[in-house]
Amino acid sequence: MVFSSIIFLCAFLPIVCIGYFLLPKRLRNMWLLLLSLLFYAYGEPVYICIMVFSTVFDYTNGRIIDYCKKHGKKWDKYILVLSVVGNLGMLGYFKYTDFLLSTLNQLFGSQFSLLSLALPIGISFYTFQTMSYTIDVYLGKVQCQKNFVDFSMYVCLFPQLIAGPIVKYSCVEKQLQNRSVTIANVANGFSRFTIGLGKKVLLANQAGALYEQMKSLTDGDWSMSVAWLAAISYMFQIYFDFSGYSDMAIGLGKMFGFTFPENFYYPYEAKSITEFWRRWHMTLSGWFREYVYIPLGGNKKGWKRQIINLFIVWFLTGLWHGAGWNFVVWGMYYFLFLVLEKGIWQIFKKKQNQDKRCGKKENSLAALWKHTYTLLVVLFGWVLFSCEKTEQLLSMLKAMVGNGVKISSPIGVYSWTNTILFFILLAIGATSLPKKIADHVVPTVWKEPLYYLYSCFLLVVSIAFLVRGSYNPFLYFRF
Amino acid sequence: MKNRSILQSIYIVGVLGCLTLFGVFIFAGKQKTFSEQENRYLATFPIVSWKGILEGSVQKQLDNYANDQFPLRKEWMELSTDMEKKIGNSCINGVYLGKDGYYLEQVLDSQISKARYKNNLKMVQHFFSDGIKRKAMLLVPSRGCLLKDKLPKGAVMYNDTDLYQKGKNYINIGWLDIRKELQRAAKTKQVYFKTDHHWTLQGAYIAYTALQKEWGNKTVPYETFLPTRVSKHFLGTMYAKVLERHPQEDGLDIPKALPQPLKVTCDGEVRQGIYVEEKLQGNDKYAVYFGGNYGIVEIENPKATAGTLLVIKDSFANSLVPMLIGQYKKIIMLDLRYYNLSVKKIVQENPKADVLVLYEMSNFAKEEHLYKLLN
Repeated sequence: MVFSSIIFLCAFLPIVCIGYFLLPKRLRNMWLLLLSLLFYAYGEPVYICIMVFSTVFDYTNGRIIDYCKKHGKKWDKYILVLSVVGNLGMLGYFKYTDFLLSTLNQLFGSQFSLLSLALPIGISFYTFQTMSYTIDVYLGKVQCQKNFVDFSMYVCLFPQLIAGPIVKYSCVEKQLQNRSVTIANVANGFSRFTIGLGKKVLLANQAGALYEQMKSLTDGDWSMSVAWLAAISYMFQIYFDFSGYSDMAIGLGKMFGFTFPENFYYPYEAKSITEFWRRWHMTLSGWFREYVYIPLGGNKKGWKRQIINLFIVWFLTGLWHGAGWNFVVWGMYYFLFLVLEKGIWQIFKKKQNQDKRCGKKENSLAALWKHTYTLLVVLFGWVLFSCEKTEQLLSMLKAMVGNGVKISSPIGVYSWTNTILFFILLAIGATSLPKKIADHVVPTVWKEPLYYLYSCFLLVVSIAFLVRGSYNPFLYFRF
Repeated sequence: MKNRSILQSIYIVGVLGCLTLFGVFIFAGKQKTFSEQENRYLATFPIVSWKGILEGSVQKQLDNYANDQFPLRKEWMELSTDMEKKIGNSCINGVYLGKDGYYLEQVLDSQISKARYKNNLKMVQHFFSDGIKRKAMLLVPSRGCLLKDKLPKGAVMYNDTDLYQKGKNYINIGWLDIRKELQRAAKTKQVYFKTDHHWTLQGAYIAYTALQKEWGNKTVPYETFLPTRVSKHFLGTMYAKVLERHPQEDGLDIPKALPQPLKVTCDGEVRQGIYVEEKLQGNDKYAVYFGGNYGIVEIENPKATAGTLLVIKDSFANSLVPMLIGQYKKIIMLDLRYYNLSVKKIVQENPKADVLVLYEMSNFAKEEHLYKLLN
């Protein structure tokens, strides 16, 4: 099931909420677990077995590791290895087997037949979550969870199950048993949910429809302006889709008393690629930092080792986003910019510190340049990300630099003028400007009622678009 | 503090209450099976089976069911169009919101395969060369291409000039290009519907005169056919895509002066006349002609003097053919999308038949069934 559907909004959500609020505290986790299983089974009636297996597997691993620790047995290490290998093996089997086989076939001309498995929805998210649990139990950062219902609910909890944020076990350890459901939280959570819904249904889907149309143009219709329109609309689509999903997840979590970590913080406002990745899909970067980068030594073992560590992290980050070479290249692309930025920073750090000491403010021209640089790098990054085939990528890049195509075509001019207002709205929506204006202009007394009114407006219009049945894709089937 | 929690309670009870009510309406309300506005069947409650659930088809139908059975569905859809218009979008669901209430479908060069068009022309050429005496081919201009002045500012349509030129090169005998005549007529009359993709009787009449001239027949004035307004509230296929509040309704005129008696056979079903008046009650009012499209329609008029006319066509012919009934003893209309028997055999059975190929231009360029001509 997806959040942006009538069946979720008008059937699943009311049922889960009403049941949850009416049930006594001790039954609430059970209720959430049952409904979460139903939620997942609705979309993956077969692959739910894999999620259930994953849950039982890591629950058992956690218990054994805990037993070993308490009784001074030494084989807790092997259980941890078993858990990590098991999780990665499952992820690898479903997500990367075909990728590996087809790469081998291409390289050596072998004839391995592909498995053509559909990827179980959310597998990349929940395996990372369960891994965070067993690793942290081993490291003694969290207590072993003995209550099977509580643990299962953590793994299967529907808000963040299929598209993140990746909630580490340590984040919600206490909340599993102890969380307060207040009217304020429910109201706050629901309004956050509607903001995410609006981002997804009203902004991302429309931008996505535009991207699909522009991408399909050929011959006389295809031009540089069309290619840019396609690239920019994809850039908006992926941000609003992904951050919208995170907003919905965080909002739903809040309604049930959970505090999930934030996942996006106006990434398109960043002034460098380093900063961009501190604002984009923060829980994924955080996961890789905690469980890959730092264990490898991070930046503590000299710059050569740091570059190797970064390489590993970004190779994996690329691969995590999809089983295709374009995703790996996309990861490497960011690795390159991050290393470059780190190098340049070393040189300019001294000067910057001097400037700061003298109280010099960064001038606006420099800021503009930094924003432009970041946005362009990110934009071309999304082009890499979205084009799975090399020829597709080349034709897109060629068109964007105006190689062999017209500057503009009539349909390009029409589409730009037709969507310019929408683009302005998207651009403003991607920044913190609306929030800043609301914070400064709206009197405090009015803030909350207006916020709820706005939330109702978003809900009503989103329902209108959903009923209309406009373009409503699910982008995470390959994550 | 107390005020705040009252406000929060009102908000939460309000929104969750509304969502619940919608849900109750969807699942407990009366199930609708057809949407007049959109001219399509609505999804009904799925038949639940283990197999269906495991394949996901039950869930899919349930999703569609919830969308299709939503209370006040029409109003919600109009709201979404409203919002799109507010944000400056003049092309909704692939349809331009033109001037004077015209909804014009966006068809771009990218959507038209030149190769397929050429291939289709070749097939007609081949078909024509097979001993047919009097032949004509007429491709009706797309609405957006002809009514350029009705398009919103900057709107783009495919370039049909090339296509007409190519057509003329392939089919030199009997090639009819009525763009100029239609354009001239469009200045004073309504040749296309505003909300439907078809032409009006006025538009079809222009084609009628061009065809009569081509074959050396006498043309009778438009009024002779006794055009009669059978509906003032026609909202057609283009409206179904846009679903705008307060659309401009079309009037539907049909020729009432038809010879009697007639024997009309639609895919084997025998009728007395060509009109199916019940269709005027629904939204797809153009289907008043013959009741829609059939693989083969035969119209027999024993009082006529000329022989047989064979029409290879799409739905645009449905309003043109009535004006030709008076002349021919027998008219056979073939819609290749639905006709699966031998076309060659029909030609052999009617060796002296006149043949007309009539399609809307973009329909013809996209048509995938013309190979049946050679079967």
